Amino acid sequence: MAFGLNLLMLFGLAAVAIPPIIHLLNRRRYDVVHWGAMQFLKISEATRRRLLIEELLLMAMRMLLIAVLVIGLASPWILLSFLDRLGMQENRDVVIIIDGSASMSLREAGTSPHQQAQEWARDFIGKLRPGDSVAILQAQQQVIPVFPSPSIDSSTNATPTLTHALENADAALSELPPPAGSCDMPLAVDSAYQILAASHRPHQDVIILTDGQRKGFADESTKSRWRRLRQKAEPSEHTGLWVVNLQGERTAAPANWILGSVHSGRALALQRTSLESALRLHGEAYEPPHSLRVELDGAPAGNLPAPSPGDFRNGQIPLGFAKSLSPGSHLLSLIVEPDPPPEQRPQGYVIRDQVPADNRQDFAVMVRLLPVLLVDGGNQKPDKRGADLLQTALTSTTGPDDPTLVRPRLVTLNDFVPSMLTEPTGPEPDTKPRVVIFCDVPELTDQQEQAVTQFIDGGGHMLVTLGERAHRNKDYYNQRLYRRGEGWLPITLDDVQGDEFSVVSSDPAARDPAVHPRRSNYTHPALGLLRPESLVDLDRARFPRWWKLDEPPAASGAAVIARFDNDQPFLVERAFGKGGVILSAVPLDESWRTNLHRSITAATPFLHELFYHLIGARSAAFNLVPGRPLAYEPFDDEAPGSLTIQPPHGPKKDLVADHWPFIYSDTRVAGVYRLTSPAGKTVYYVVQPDTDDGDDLTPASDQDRKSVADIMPFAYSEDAQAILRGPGQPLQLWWWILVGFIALLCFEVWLTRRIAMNR
Amino acid sequence: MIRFDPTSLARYGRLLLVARNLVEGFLTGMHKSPYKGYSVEFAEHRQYYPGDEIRHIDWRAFGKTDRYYVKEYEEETNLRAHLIVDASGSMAYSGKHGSKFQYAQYVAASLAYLMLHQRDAVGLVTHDTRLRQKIQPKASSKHLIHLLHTLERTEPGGETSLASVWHDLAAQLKRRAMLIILSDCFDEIGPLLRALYHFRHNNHEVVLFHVLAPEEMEFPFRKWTQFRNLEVTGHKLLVDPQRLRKEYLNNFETFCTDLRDNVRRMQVDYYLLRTDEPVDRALGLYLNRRLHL
Repeated sequence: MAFGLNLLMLFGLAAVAIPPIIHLLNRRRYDVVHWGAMQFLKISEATRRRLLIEELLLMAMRMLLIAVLVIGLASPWILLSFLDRLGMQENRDVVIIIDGSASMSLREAGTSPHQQAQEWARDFIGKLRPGDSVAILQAQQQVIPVFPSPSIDSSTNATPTLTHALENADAALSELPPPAGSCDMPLAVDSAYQILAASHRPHQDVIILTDGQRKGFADESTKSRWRRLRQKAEPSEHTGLWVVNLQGERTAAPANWILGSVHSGRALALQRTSLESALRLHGEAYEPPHSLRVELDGAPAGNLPAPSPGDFRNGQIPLGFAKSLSPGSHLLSLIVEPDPPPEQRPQGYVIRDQVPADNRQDFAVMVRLLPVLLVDGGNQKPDKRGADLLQTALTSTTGPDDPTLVRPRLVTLNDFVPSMLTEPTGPEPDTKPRVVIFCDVPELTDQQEQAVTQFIDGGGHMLVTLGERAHRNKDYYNQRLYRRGEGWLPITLDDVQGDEFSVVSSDPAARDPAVHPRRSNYTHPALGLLRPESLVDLDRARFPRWWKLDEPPAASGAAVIARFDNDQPFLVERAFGKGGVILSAVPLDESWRTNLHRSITAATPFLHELFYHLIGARSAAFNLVPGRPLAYEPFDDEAPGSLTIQPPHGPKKDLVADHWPFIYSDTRVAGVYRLTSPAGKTVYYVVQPDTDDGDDLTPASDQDRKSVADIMPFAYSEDAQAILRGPGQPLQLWWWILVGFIALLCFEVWLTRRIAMNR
Repeated sequence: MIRFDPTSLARYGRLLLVARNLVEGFLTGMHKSPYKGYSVEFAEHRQYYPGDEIRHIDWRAFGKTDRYYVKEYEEETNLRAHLIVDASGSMAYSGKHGSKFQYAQYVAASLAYLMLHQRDAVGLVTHDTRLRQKIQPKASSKHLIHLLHTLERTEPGGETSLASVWHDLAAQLKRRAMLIILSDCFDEIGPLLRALYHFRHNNHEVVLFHVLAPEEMEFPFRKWTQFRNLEVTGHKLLVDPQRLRKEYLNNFETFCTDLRDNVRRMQVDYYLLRTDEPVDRALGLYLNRRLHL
């Protein structure tokens, strides 16, 4: 039995002295009457005793009323085990959080903690009483509502709630997503608080089912997050916070192979796609795995050769492979099986991998045709000096097995008519230009200018390079295309600087009069080749003559995304309408005697990066982190309509797209999302879990658990019955005290009235 | 006709004026003669003045003195009355309407005036635990001044033991008379009744005017009150009057009922006088009784 209340409130008990004080004050303040009929004031002994008893009783009643009120305000509670057996404990709200990190798949003891958690939750929910409510969450990198099951026709994140329909919990637990990645336990507990905050029951429990791993629960980073959670939300003293360690005693560092996240070598979707990953090993020394398989769109696509032990460096082995893919969306999967199946294992076989959840990685690739319209500013078709050079760079491939997906169309400015912006650039029907490149265009006609503006406003993108022809039409650019920030040109042109015939002095100390791209920590996705860690020679590209561009005003929406080494803008980008424009301060062809195409090996990849950035064909759009919404927008004229999404777990969702892009937000579960568009096209999206969890499988020590309990009021127990009993389940006495207070008040009123009636 | 010395009237004017106003105002309202026969007991001689009736000249005195004297007679009354006024401490209680003793003074003065006006002989007895003043009844005109003088000099105070005083008084009043008692009767009911019975046993006509203050009858007190005994110095009682009211009223009602019923049973005329009622009500009650004698 336990009892508790707010001790500070008990200072209010001093108020019980109020009735006697009032009584004494009344006795001190009296009238004086000189009286003759004293003989009638002599009351009988019985009456005197009755009056005394009534007076004492009334005063005691009033003192008791005040005492009861004060004690009620002190929120007393009592914990009596026999009350629970009698069914007198009040109903409770329970939020069960199941650790969803990869380590929950540990199969050292035969049954994984994940399965144990399912069984434990079933058993616990079976012990709850009618009227109790429950919610089940899974803590991965995001918090996944498991029960009650989220609506299947919603594209947004469902808000978890409590439910009384406990009978459906069994089915929901069966559909529990498998462990993957790491877990954000403080975020899950915070979500549990929010769920419980919607209920006003005094008996609430948050139960964490975990494998006792230190990482994600008691490491310094997580403890810091526990502290922030404690500061943000102080749990009610009657909210039980339970941690159930399902693994108990286990090996401190079980053997584990981890397949690192798959990423594309150039972050681009080409027909021949190169993918990279790495194998990280913990435990036993490296031996070639049983298999290293590749799957394409869910079907076996061959095995990779087992890496040799010589490749093992710094605890990991790099992996890489390439696949030629047809246009369309594809799912590439890499699966490592360190151990043979149990039936093939020899006697005394030592298992190399105890955590299977981190042995598979998926990667979504979109291979599509890339239509582009190149407009050369000259009057005649260019010949290896103008836009044709850019066309060549964009259509270059690595070999005959890697045919280009770029569908270019090159025209001169004189031939450029507005209809070209809506006509296919290649033989395929879905090759309307998505990118237009203006190569040193001098001046547009009104129709051309209007068509280009509409093209960008409607979602098209442009790359505008400046050269000598633009030099002669600077005012046109500034007044018509910039129009004080209202046009699509990102920034005004100042003047052409440098001399195209300047040469590099033989004196190493002499300064080169030309400008070069500056290598810097650019965050722009198309400028990875200019980052300090890049090994390519793009910063040696020499531009002897260049445009000096003005710095964009702060609120103009334009941004300098790359600079020359003289700090002047090299590339300026600006969004306009639904599209965008990149302005280059140099022609990017061979005019003005640059060495870009002759000496710089990274010139073509650099132009590819800019082009693919503009066309929006980046792999990051299809490979997401948990919680980041996926967006689908067709390249062709596909009309919005009904579509379906098959999430990694659970039933397929039938949804309706009213417009493009279609946004789907419920991407909390790691895995493959398969979208079927209104036209029946399949598009893969992969929510990639992080792979850090398996790197440190050390269980939390007693000291770790205590240090966390010092921050959050966790109680550690594995016994469901003990959790059901409390100590988080006290019987709140304020209700009974309220009833007692009302009863006493009625009695006091009755007694006072009775005395008054007797007067 | 009763004559008053103007000097005396000036000295004792307050009570006299009150009595006269009360009585004459009351009698005017009744339009009924108060006179009812008289006797011819000689009182004194006085010098003859023109206008006196010849038949009243005392010729025997003329023969002796050669002067005309007129014989004056004390008219014999058909009533001897004693006004017995309780002057104990409890009669000093004054609520909102003056003290009970003051009220008793007015009533006694008025009755004395009225009875002397009717040629009745009126005496006065004041007492607390013992007899203070005792004036034998007379019907002379100067007697009123004496009575009023005595009444006005009397101050209430001291303890009351009505029964013993009245027993003493009964033993002293040999001649049959009307006893008009003005008292709050605050004493033990048994001895009190026995004392009244003693009066009746001696063939006295007894009229009991029970003088009470409305506060004593209604006990209207609300706040905590210290009641200080008017008869016993130092005796006080601090009570919550609201808690005691029912018990007090019950005791009081029982006492009054017992007193009234028992005195009527022994043919004592009982009249309750509240100090918030006009004094002439007592005169009306008295005359009404005289009419029925």
